[in-house]
Amino acid sequence: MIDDELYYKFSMKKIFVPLNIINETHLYLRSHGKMGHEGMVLWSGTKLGSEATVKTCIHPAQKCTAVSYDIPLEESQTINRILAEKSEVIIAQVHSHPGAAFHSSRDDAMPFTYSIGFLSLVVPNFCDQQLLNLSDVRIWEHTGSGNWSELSKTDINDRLILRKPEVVR
Amino acid sequence: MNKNEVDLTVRHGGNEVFISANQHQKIQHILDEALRKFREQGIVPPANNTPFLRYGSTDLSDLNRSIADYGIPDKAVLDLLFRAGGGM
Repeated sequence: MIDDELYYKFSMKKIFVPLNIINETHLYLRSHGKMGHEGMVLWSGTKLGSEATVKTCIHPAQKCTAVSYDIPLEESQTINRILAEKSEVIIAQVHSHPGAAFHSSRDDAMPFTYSIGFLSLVVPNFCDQQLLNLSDVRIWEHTGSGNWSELSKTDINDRLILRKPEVVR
Repeated sequence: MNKNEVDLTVRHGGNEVFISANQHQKIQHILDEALRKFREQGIVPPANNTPFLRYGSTDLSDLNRSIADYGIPDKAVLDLLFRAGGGM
């Protein structure tokens, strides 16, 4: 793969996610689901070497239907500004599907960013279940040039570390 | 510094790159330079996905226009954006 060296350099081996971010994500996606449409949030935070710590759950303005979401360019620009002010980077996006969790062709082609190691979490059934152990969530990782690789359950357990906020580094 | 030179910041997703250019150079040059420098930061879009550049509320959509044509001043901050969306 052409981006092997870049992947090794930029992928995240550990991602620390505070439980309050998980809960906030659930509440937001569930509120969209109750209205019968998909929803999306972004996780931003800090990266140090191959470790990342999620600090913020961003709720972008978005145009949603039962089977899609779109972020206006102006909103993406606003997020760029907010991230610069907070000195944070985008780590992951999380969105819901009405049924099964999978990475659709739209999901492949229209991520918020193409950072290597950027994660795309897909939550099934309009997020009708708690996310506390991510058991129903499927996760894909951007490996470069628009290519995505699904994380195995073992990878998810090894790499995404869910913690109480006070012990997140 | 040459009076025709401008120093620009391009930001995306919490990352930023710095580009010095002549104000008569085309926006295409800024986009190419930004993509090259972002790649060094691990941001690697597919070749067939052309991102958008914005300066404030202005879409820099005509890549053949120059920095001066768009009235972009020295020290300006531009945003590099991808069309974001998804769903089943």
